[in-house]
Amino acid sequence: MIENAIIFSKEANKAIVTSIFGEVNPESEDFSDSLAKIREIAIKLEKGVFNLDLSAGLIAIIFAIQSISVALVFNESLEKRAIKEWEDVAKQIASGIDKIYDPMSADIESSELKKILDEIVEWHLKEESPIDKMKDALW
Amino acid sequence: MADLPSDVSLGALITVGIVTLAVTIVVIFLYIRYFERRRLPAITLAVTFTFWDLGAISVFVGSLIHYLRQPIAAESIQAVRYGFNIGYAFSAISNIFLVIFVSQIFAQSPMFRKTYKLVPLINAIFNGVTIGLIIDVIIADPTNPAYGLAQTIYHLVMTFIAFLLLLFFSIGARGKVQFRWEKAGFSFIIGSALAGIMIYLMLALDRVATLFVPGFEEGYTPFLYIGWTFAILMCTLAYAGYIMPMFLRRLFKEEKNHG
Repeated sequence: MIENAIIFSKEANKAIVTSIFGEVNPESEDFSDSLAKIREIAIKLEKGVFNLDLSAGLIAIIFAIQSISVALVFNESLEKRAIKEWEDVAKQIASGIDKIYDPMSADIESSELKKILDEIVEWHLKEESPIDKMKDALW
Repeated sequence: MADLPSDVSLGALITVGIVTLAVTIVVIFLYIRYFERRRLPAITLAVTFTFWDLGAISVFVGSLIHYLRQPIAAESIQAVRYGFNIGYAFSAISNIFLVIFVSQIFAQSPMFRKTYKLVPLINAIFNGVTIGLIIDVIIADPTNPAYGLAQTIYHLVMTFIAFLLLLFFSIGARGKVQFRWEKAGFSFIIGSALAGIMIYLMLALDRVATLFVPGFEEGYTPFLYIGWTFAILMCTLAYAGYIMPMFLRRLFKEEKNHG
């Protein structure tokens, strides 16, 4: 099933948020080659969804949303039908965020959501996670 | 009858000396780590422990002078009272830097993200009150500044808030780690914060027992010794949690956290 999720900033040209759901840590050395491949596509991808086969029996679904891209990494045991469902979820998220970022949208709720998303992305660009900070400063 | 401090026992003096030495060792390691990494949170934590160390040194020096000069006449300067009061003032400054450290490490959390530096600023103002209370008692009686219960309780509350912030965020971070050694690091920090709270709780209980419990009027109750023991425990856990020496890293490293 799902191993991890990574959000990339196209502006910063790097991963800004990572989440682990399974056994594969996106920040581990073992995953560094796969991360480099994902990053390359995530930064270049302008719109839509991209399926990427990785080594070590992993696959990634990468989808682009304005200035950010999201990669969901699965192990190979995922059935084709399940991949299709995740793709649909990714598209739904992407279209939802597209709506929020639509410059023609005058919806107050959308503008509030955009503000929150921008704030979170900006903040993550600037600040590292507590674990990263501890590793950087002390551990 | 004047509220004079009790005579300092040799046991108490040695215990405070050990505490002072323990904090000094942690401070040295924290500065070494800062000069290796040159990161802001590292220097903030080193300063936090430096002020705590200065507090311990104040209590030790005050107690030592008192011990060497006792019995001290009522009209003479009661050095041990200066030691404790100045110690509390340094501890209040240490609380200020501890919350700044928490705000730096856990800057991503909504509490600090949305309020910027408001939480550390408010905390600094409230800890400033502790210093104000101490200046007041010294001005009121420069020979024998009171070691009042109110300021002890107030400082306990402020310390509780500072360590509680550290505890709350460290527990959250501990739940998100991937490796056992990271989990161990946050566990030691949590233990250190709990021990920190216990120190001041015991110091407050010592004061309460001395003032209100018959048989403890002479001071230096068992609570004080338990409090200082917690101080040694806090330093040991802080060393393990913040410095993470190599043997601890080896003990926990490369094993995934399944717990």
